[in-house]
Amino acid sequence: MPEQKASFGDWLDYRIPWRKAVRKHLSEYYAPKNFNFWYIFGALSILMFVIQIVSGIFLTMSYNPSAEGAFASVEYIMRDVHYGWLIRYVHSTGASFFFIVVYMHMFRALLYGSYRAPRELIWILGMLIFVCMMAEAFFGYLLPWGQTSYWGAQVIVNLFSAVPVVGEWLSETIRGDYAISGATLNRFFALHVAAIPLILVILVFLHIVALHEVGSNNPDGIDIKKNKDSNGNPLDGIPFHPYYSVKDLFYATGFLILFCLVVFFAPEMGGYFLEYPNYEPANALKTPDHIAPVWYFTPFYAILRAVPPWFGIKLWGVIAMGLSIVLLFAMPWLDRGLVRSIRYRGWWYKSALIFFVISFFGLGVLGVLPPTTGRTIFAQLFTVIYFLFLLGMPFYTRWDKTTTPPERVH
Amino acid sequence: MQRLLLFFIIFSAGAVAGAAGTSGVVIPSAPIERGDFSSLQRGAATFINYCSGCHSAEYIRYGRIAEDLGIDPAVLREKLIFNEVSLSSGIESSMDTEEATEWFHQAAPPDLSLSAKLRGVDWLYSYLRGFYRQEDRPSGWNNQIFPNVAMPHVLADLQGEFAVNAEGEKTLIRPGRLSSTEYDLMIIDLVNFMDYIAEPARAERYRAGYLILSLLLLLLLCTFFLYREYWRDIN
Repeated sequence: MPEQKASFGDWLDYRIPWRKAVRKHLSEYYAPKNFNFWYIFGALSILMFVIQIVSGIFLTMSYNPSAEGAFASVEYIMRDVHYGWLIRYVHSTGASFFFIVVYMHMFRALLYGSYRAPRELIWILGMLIFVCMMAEAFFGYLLPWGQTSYWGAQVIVNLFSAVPVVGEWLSETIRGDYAISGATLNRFFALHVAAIPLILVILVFLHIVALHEVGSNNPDGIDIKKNKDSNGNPLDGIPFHPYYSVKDLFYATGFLILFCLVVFFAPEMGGYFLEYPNYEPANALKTPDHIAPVWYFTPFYAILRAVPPWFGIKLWGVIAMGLSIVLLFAMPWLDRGLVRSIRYRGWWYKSALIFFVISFFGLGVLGVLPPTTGRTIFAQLFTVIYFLFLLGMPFYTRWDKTTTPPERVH
Repeated sequence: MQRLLLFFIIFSAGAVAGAAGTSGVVIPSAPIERGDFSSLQRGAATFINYCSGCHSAEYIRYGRIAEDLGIDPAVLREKLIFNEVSLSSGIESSMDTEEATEWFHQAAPPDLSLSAKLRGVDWLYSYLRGFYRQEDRPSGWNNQIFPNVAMPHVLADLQGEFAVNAEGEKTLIRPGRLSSTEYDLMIIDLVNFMDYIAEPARAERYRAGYLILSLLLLLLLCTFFLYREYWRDIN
């Protein structure tokens, strides 16, 4: 039995090990002391996730998930709900900012080899989060029921019909109808507000548990657990709380300033965060001249369009787009370099990464624009570089002349 | 006078910088002044008198217009509401949608609540000034910005009638009741009002934005000193 004079904290601790959890994940979680700018995006991703969940809950209170009422209910939120415009702009801007921070977070992993042993599982869980985020964003984009929503969903769901044999059945199952309709809207709503967020919560939890088990990587890519003090704590590590919690607090505030600049002064971001054709209600009889997905999908969309329909089969583009994501999962095993961090790698990896980044941005820009012959050639070139970066990785990381990392962090 | 000057400055700047439209016509930027109540009130009157006969603007409520543009609800009801609807209803079209669909060959006049977002104010400004006579069109009209549009030139009585030759040159064939400048100013007010109804909360959004940003800057300062204080023993 707990003592009679025990505090509420003790009472609770006797029943659930909250003190142990706080120690393990905050006050005694030792993170390398040399984290730089690139290490803020993990915390910022969690911040964006919370913002999306909270703003999403409030949107759900006033949104009407039906083909007849969806568009009007969004305008109702924008005009009649108290601060509805704020809730909606936070959510729509949040979607884009979530992808920005997650792309930066993933790029950090490429810079410092954070995906490599023993952090393969963290990387795989992170990739699963990324795939779920894409699904979440795709399902959510149909909900305003505007022209871009409708035709964007039409294009993406039709991709599944390119799958041999089961394609038609698959796309009909996703739609729940022969065309995008109210039935599609209903199931996308269910997936967007319940199914995918639940999976995301679980994956984010596992991602962090796995990280805290093996410990964070750092810009030098070396193992800080090799050098410990007499208490068994890493010499180059500092407790996450208070050091990184205050640092993240400062950077999160700076980030929120950028976020609010967009939310309050440019929520449409020139048609990239909220696309102008989406201010017209969905109309199944009126195909828009040009359908471009939201910017965070465009690199993959450009790969899809770049691959020609060899032998009259449309499937190649879909396969290439799928592979461009699936191959990322294999990165921990594709990379055979002797060091983790780019600081100690040779020019092979450095130039490969530069070309990869240029290609990714190039594909992103080309995916927004309508295709022309010249643009398609560029998209094909960038697609080849994208795949060369991944498929060539087992070779060029081996050829690379790496230097020996220091024993202790800088 | 100031407004006119502003108009010409922005117009010429816009004409130089403006992107080429669909039919090769330059789209200048619309010199609207957001938050100019008298301009918005004139625009509201023009919209209700000339547009709402055929077009609805169902997402903007009369009461909201009165509140946001500083119009006494009684005055609004007397001068701008021609039917027995409540102040909380949106602007309805006087036209029956089914009949309109038939009259305009499957292109019923669209709702205009969001057209300033959908098309952009610059497009609207040029579109409303871009009508010309073309007798072989069903309506007898065509438009330089929106070729083969179903809508006739409702404001021809004010603007006058133009003809466009094969080279795209526009000539006045019948003057209207307004001078060219007066007509442009009327369209600026109308477009300003359409910009307002597309997002009535915009002014509130800007106000809230400045407040939130100043609070965040203050917080940034506090968190910076907190961060520096804690990290003193690390560095």
